[in-house]
Amino acid sequence: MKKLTKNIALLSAGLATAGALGTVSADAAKYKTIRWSQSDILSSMDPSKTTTNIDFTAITATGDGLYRANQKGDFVLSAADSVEESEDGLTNTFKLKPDLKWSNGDPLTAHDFVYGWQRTNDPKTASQYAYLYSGINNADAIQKGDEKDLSKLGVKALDDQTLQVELEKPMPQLKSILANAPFFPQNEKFVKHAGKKYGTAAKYTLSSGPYKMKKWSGSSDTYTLVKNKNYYDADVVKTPKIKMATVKEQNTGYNLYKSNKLDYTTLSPEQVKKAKNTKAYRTIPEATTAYLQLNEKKVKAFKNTKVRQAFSYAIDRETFADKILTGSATPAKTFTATKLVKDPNTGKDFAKSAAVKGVNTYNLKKAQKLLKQGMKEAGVKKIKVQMLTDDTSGAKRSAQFVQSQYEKLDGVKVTIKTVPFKQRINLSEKRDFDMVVSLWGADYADPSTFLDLYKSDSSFNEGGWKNEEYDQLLDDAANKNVNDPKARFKDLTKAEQILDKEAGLVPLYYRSQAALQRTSIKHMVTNTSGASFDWKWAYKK
Amino acid sequence: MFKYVMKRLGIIVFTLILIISATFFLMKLMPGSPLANAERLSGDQQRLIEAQYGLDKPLLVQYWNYLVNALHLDFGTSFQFQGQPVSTLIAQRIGPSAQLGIQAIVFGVIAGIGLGAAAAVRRNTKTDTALSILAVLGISVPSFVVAALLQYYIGLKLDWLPIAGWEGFAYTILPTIALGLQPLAISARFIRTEMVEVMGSDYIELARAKGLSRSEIVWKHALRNSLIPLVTLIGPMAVNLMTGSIVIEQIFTIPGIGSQFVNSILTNDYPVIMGTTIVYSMMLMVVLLITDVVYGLIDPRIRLAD
Repeated sequence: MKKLTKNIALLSAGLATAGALGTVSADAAKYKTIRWSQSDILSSMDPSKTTTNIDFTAITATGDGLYRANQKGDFVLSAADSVEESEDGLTNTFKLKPDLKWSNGDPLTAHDFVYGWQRTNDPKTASQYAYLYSGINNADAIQKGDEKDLSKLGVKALDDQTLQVELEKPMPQLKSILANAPFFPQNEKFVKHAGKKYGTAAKYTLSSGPYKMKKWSGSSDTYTLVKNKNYYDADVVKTPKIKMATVKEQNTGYNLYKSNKLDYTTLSPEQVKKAKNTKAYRTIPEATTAYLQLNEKKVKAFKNTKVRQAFSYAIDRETFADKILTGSATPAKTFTATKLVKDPNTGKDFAKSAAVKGVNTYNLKKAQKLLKQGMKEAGVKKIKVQMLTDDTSGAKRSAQFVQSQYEKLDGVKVTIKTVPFKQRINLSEKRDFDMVVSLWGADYADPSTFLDLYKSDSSFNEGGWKNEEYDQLLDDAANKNVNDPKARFKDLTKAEQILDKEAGLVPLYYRSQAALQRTSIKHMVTNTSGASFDWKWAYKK
Repeated sequence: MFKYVMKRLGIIVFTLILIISATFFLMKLMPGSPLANAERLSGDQQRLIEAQYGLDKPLLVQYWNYLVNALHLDFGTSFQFQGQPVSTLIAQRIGPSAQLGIQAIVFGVIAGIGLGAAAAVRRNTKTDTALSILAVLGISVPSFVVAALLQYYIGLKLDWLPIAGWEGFAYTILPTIALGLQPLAISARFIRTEMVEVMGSDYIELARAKGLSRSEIVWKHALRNSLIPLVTLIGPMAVNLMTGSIVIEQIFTIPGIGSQFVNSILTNDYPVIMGTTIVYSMMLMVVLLITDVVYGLIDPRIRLAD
């Protein structure tokens, strides 16, 4: 009890000083403090143990990978100065920038990358993002515990400045994942010294990126980022300080924004209607697709392609996105989300150039016709199914809309079952549903982060749709054509089109985040995979 | 008295073990994995990681381990806050919740006594009717509605007090009012009824006959005697506050334990669910014990059985 009261006293003292400091430094610098908000609390600053996108954002602010997404969204070398790729694409040799430093002044070397990567793959660390390493030499074997020797992982420090990465198979997503938090370097001395506490409070974090973490207790709702003078690119970092607040209620966020206590707040559909025409309004794409999975194992009719197609044609996605999800969605014509990656063949957004005209659009007549034929072929008179979805108010409204669309189909009866998120995931895994509203967000900037999900042997193919050509095309993209981007994207495009035409799943919408962001903030970078926000170049005048 | 308290403490420990056991097994019945990133991991990957946390062991073994560790005051580490000990997590977040709860109950009860007494003295006047309406509103309107209104009008429109946050006393005022309104209404209604009854009793008639002034009668005789039963209400009020604070903390972005408790349930963060349940039930049982003891001390008619 004594310890407890002491902690409370410390905490309130900390809060008091935090409040006092906030008012002093307001006009000291030319560039102002940026006051951001997040919808949930920061949970870990350990790059190996991070689990949420909110963590990714904070770790990316205080860290740097071999690559980093630049202001255009391209992955460019960051901690690395140059890279040499072997002809077979299996060995990448990175030369680090000279004189890299940690925020405490320690030199940052290739060994720090090796240590961080080994630690993430070590089964004892129980990293929930280690799977991103799949494809790097022995990563899978080490994570499973089949290979006990961590040094067998395909990463070696040839000298302090040279890092060699060896792959089992070429990884087209390599640049994109190397920019992610779980691939950041870690300072062995610091990590070992902090022990179990590493990444659990501001003082147990060490920065290799544009900012340093301050005033974070490990479970506090607020934290502060201050500029890291030891960052190699410190010259381009203009903002002295970023203050982060956790605001779960969007009404509160809106009020705080209105009274000029915040520079950024997310908006609910109701608020979007009020804010849509202001200059500060913006929508931030998330490369996340909402889609319906139709369980072919449980509902016989879903094995029939025409029935599945009917279930896609019956949905008016425009109305869905505009009226129900106002501001937070755009109609989806493909499984792969928009704003994820460009197709090298067309130079356009992959999702846009792969979309098949007339597929995954609203056409009730066609839906009726296909359904009639399909039901006849499948030998069923009625389709009575239950739609599984989350129990949030947004998910319920969405489900009711989809249900109302299916009510227009003769012979179809859809009921709704709402469950908590964790249970929805659990029931989906067990294939215990008729149809389910699922969401998938990109792990990295490549269509395979979506399309691989629906390979016939994928554990995330919960609908059970199978198509040999689809599997073959994805196999070619991963192996035969892996080093030929143009041929590879042709394979991926074809695969996407087969999935869409056959309605292997029913894409509903691409999710985005409607927000208000003060117009005085410039050069704010948002990413659709990895960290949502990057303040490296951002400033507020 | 000492014996009584010791007996009650014994019951508390027993109840606590019952609560721990029931919560543990109910919690394990909740479907889904405690891994925050489970949605992106295949079943096999989840099993591998869960084994690192000992979640592959039989349920009874897990239960026994938890009990043994809890007896040594080791409540495990959080799944959501990777590596964060549950005790640290709760210690860091319970301060604001406790402060808010105490402020709300103090404000609510004191203001409630004042208003209740005023209504009783001015019985069947406009003041009385107005206060009665206020009391009914205070009990029936949920605190989060009041919170949203206060935040919008007092915080944003009038700019008198901070909208949200937790950086000093000014930040606590609006949430205290929002949370304190219910105890206020309950105690105001209670005091009014008690006072009306006491005011009609023989000894007040006697005091009046002796020529005591009106204020002396009200303050010294009527109010004092009406206050005693109010103590019994503090316990139930504390329960209401604990549940009410969950939403209030969220609306005013208070770094308390309430919203984290809900979050831990939604994310299957087993150790945090257990830890918070233990703390909540401990607090409640201690509050109930204290009110019982205090009641015995202030009301000579109640003697705690030894």
